[in-house]
Amino acid sequence: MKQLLQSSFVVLMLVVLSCLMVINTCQLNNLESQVLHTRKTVEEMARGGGVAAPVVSKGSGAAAAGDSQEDEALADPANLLTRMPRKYVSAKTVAPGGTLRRQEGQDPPGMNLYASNNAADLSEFANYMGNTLASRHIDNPDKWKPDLAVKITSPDDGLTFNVTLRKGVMWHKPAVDFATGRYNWLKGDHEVTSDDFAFALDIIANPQVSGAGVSAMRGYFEFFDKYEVVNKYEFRARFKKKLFTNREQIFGILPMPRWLYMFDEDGNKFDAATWGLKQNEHWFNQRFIGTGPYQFKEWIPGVRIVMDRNEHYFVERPAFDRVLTMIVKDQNAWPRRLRAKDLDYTHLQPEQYRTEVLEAKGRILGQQGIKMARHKELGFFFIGWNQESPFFADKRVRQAMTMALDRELIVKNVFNGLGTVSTGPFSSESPCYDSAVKMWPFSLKAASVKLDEAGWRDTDGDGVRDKLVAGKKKSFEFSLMTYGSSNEWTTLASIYREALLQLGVKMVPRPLEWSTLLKKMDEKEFDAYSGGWALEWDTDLMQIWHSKEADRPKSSNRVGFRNKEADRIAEALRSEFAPAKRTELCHQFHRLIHDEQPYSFIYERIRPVLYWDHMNDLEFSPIRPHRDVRMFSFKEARP
Amino acid sequence: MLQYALKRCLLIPPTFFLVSIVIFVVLNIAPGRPGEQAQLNGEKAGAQQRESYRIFKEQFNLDKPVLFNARFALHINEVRALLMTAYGLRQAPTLAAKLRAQNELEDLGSYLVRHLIALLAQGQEPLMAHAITTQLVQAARRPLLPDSGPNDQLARTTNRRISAQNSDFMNWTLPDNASDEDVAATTEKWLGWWKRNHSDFEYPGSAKPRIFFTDTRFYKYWWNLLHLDFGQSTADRRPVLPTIISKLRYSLSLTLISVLLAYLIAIPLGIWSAVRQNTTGDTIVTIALFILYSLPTFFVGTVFLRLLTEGDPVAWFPAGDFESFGADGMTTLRRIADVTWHLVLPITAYTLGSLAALSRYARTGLVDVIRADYIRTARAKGLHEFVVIVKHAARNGMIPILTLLGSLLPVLVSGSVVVEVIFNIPGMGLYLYDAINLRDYNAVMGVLMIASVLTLLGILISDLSYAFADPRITFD
Repeated sequence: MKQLLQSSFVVLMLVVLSCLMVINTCQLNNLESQVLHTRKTVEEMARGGGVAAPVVSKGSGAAAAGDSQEDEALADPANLLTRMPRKYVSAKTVAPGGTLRRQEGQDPPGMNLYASNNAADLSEFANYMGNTLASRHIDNPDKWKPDLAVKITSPDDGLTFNVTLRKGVMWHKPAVDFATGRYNWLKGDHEVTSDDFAFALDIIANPQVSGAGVSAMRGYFEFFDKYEVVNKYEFRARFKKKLFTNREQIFGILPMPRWLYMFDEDGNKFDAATWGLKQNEHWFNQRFIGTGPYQFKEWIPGVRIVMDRNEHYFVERPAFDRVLTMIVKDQNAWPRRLRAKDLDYTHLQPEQYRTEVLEAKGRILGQQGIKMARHKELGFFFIGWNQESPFFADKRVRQAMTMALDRELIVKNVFNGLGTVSTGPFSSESPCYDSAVKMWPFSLKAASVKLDEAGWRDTDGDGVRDKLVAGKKKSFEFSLMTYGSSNEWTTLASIYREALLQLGVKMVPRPLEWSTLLKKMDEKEFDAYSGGWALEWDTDLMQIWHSKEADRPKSSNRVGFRNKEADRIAEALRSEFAPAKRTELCHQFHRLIHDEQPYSFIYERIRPVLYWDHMNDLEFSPIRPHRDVRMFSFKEARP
Repeated sequence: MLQYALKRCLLIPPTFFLVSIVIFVVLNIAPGRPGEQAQLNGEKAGAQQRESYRIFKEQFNLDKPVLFNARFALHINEVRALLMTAYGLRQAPTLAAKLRAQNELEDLGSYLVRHLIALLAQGQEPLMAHAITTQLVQAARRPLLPDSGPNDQLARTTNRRISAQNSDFMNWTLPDNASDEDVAATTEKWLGWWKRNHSDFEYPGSAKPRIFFTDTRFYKYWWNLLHLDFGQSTADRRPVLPTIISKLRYSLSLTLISVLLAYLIAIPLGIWSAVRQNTTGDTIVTIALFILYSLPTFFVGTVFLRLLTEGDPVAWFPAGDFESFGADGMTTLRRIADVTWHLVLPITAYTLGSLAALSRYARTGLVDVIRADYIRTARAKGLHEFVVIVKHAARNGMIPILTLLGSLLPVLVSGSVVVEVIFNIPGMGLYLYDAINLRDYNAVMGVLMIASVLTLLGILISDLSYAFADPRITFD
């Protein structure tokens, strides 16, 4: 009896204790949620307070002052900049606010455009968070609109550039925790001045800064001479050589605040001898500072990048309160994340387009309010022929190779119709593309004749063509390097292999891992490779096609294309400024390359984009990033 | 026992050292170099870019030989041959050879200086003089000292001197069509400089052993490692250790829970099967487990995601990620609930596969024991069946499971690439995978070093735990 009493007492105590614990936890949780709520309110008030002071909405207040400066500057006929006739968002009904959810396949390797190791992944973010001096019109990319500069003139047509900056543009607040007191030296407003551009040019000139971004820029700044700061809002940049590309380089400079990047985390200035090295591992490199429509909020590697609206933006008010970029490594997961409503829009790979859209009719499209749009990408895919190899030195052989490849069939069936057959080194969207050029038809018969003409005949009856090369009989057997993990290219290679076998040419597909592929190309130890070039709006032909590049190690002219006429056109295009003449030169070049076939051009890619119908119909920019967040908006109000 | 434990502990550092040599060498001889891919994306490889990449290599010690450095024994003829190839002075070198020679010259750095000076002093043709002086500018540069801040006056003054010197060098080059007078004048400048500084570039016999062992990548890596400095990632320039620690949060929550679950389910299941050996129940469990075992994780994961997250048929779970966006603003309880909700599918997918193996180990271990005489004795004593199995049989039958424990620690840390990719959890597995693809030596070394220490510790712990499980086992 006593034992029973004792044990029931223990049980009772335990029950009471656990009840207390549950109550306690609940109370704590309540308390915590109140604290969080208060903190959120305070944050919102702080943000709201910032907005209330210099109201920017609808272009009044500070922006109006800027506008009058802009009007005056644009009235000057010497100004190279013009006003863009359309707005980024053209939809009629735009619900303000909301969070746009999008995805990237990987983290950018840092947030410093100059010092990070892959500028390509970062440049899109730089578009949203930063501004350059000027940018291309989205409806007519041949024209430039004022951004941080209101006026740029070039009295000597491309040698000197006189830049007048927009007054009153403020840098975003650095994304640091001011509450700790460590960053007090960064407090206060900072206006964008000539010195920020001077610092960017200093970075480009300093080889200690070793990022890939700055490395790529240096190629274009090869003939940069010097800059000269006239005053706070004006500077002059001078080149040694008059080149068409100079303009784009100057217009495209992203300013860098010297007041931030020249200092260590505690506000100590770097030494003159080592400041370049310090940029590579600068404490602020995981954050972005700019002047653009969105400002950097946070970046958790592998998880997300968050950008908030810049309430003080000097141009068009951004459509979203917040842009949330999730990092989703597995591309196969993108359409699933879209269906699960984690994303507002996403683009598809060709193979996904087949499985998710073509073969699974109705599962994605139509049924649940998901829509699809498509856009073309600036660039082309090709097979490059090593013109230093005994097989492909003769252009007749290269023409035959192109004719043996049924490109229309491949685009239709292998790439699921997501593209158009390409005939030359320009994008078909660009005025440079000569639409009079007719593609080489698919014809094994014609290809066979060309090969015969070039001296490749099957003399020994083994089914493979051969020829005497430097006194030795060589049979036509070569390998085609492709990028290993691409299913489409593997299929393409096997279709091509069959076609070539009928021609009496033996081709072995060699799928390789990317770094091995690059190494083989650098050392020119290949017969043929499959690749693609992403193009800029103004293509500089020197890089890929000039024979000088063919002799330079690790250059982009990997196939060793050497042609005097091509060299002449590429050089002429660099110093020609008149649009009509430029177009004529491009067309000439297109025809020449079509005849020479240093590459077998295959196709230009079309990207399918899926989006929820709470978004306004997607519009795409003809230039990169084609899926420009600044052009998107919500139809209806969203959280 | 204590003596044994001590002996084993003392063996850990040398084993670790050997392991690190193997990993380091394998990593460094694999094709591809850190930063190379990024470098090649920059299209026009001009002189300034090469210089920039050279500085990058210098910063990460990539210009040094891997294990041993015998560069002081370089012969002047080798240098001449390299120069001829790199600058194309010999009859048409292949591009591959030219690139290799350029890289080699860059890497040899200061070891070239005395030979270059000797070559220059012999009096050279303009072409060769151009090659030598261009190379000298690179080779004679002293690397800048790391500058830790405004109080580091020594570093700052030294660096200033070095950069003044370096910009002098830039003016001491020759174009490839220089006149004989120019060649003579520039040669004079270099020889004058050499007279003042030759001691920096000559290697007396006494310095050779030191250089042989210490001026290498491996030595520099270990030197930093001893200071617990795992270096910087060459891909994103962040220090490796904090990144690894931040990734641990994701990987540990996944693997720790899943391993615990696997043990909690598999061992009782194994015991149950062993007790009911060859009954219908045992057969059904065995078949079910083997079906699970043969379903690969990526398949189970994808099926879960397809069926349970897209709303077709149901959307009970999130389609990926570790936690919701906005989890920072949640109360602790809600946050735990949120993470749990996100982790249900990945943990289930991850656990299912390992159930079969574990429970089979437990079953086999017990089946052997259950027929032993002492079990019959225990039953004969009239003990309850539960006590017989759990106290007497299980303790003996679990030794194979303890062996498995040893391999557990590194698994906990290294995570699972497959689950992490499918469920988009940014853990260690994914980090290692990316680092290998980018040839990010420091990151790969960092993860593998930590994993090897944990493996060694795991093996030690599992060995010692034998003695606790079975008092008959002693190590004395």
